[in-house]
Amino acid sequence: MGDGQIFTLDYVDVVRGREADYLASSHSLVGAHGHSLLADTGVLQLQATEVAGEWPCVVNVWERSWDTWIATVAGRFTDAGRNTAIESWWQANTDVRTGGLDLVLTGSPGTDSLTVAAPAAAHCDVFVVDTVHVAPGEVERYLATADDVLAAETAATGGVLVGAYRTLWRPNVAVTIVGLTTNAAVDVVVGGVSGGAWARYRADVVRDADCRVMLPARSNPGRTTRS
Amino acid sequence: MSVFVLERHDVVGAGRGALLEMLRDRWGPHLEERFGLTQVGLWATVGSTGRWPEAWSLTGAPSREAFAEAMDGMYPMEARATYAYEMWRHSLRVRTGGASHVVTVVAGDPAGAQDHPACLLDVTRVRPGRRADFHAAVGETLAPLNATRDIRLLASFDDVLVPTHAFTLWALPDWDRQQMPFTAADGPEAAGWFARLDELVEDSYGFLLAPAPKTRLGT
Repeated sequence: MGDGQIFTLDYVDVVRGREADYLASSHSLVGAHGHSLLADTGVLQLQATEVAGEWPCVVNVWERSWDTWIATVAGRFTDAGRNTAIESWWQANTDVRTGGLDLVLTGSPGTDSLTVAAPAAAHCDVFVVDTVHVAPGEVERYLATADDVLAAETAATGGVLVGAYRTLWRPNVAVTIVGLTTNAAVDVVVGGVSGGAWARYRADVVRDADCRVMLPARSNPGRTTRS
Repeated sequence: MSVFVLERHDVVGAGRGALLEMLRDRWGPHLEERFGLTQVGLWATVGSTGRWPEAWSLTGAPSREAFAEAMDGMYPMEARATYAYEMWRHSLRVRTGGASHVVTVVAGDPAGAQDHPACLLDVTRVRPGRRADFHAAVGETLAPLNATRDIRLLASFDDVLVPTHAFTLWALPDWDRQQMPFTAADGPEAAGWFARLDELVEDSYGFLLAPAPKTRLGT
């Protein structure tokens, strides 16, 4: 992971039936405006199923430098340095979203940049976005265990650990994202049907979880088809 | 049945009757025929006991492998299950959203859940590592208590993906004999249950579910 790289995880409440429209619209932001907001961005986009988790929902994971993110946030709330292109996009897309929740993340030592991790997961048909609450002192061990155990168990099914993340300003919240090749692997890796070490550890330490089974967007790097 | 999707459906305005009708008459049979999934339960939330307007469904697969195969075959729907996608698309006019849980049965059997006049669904967040203890306590303490009022434990479920979430489905005998839920003041057995609850559980809420009538529900 590059020094100072951060990720933002956006759970977007989209208008039902407009998931693809929102995915395409938000993907149009990538490098499209010549402004610093998304110029250095990696991205992974996912869409809710009705298998596990809230629906309707789209997840965008963006990667950028800390300096870019800070500059963006600072500019957004001042009169100087405003990105009018983004503001126009924001105003123009209220018909496809109703709200959402964003988290700012930093990656574990084993977490790659999205420019590497997203293409590496291009063959995956199912993603699990798992935001968990653990004891505040447990987060570092949770991430280390994900880097070690979750990554190995996911790889054994043909899948990929996209990343393991701590959440800024929320010291008891961690996020993992895995890409998998089948729904059976969801059960094996996260549900613990095989009694895997990750599932056992997770069951011991997780106090609450928002665990969503999602589909990849057509626009994800390296992905050419979803059929 | 070994694995189920327990799903909450949030409803647009007065569309619940139409949604239940579609889920029962078209969606359920299609899931059975095309994917081998069985609609075990389909209910309306009894509005004064929880969120509204809302419906719940419970759909089962004979095995985890069969469930995974069905999901692989169903998603993305627009590419792999076009008739299901068409039904899903038409359902959007009466649905605002919802949430799903992949669950497995820990005790009991939800088959026939539709046949009861009403059910009680308890949604519980247990303390880490205590879910098995919680289910044991339900079986040993709460189920006998509820049985004294003819409230029968149909099934207890674990959320497959969230290790602190559990669901308990109870069958109510009829509406006429409903009594106030137990409190800790109702005797030593009830007090014992609430003490166990405090030891094992972070949060719990329950609400009543009623099966859809044969004619379209108007509320």
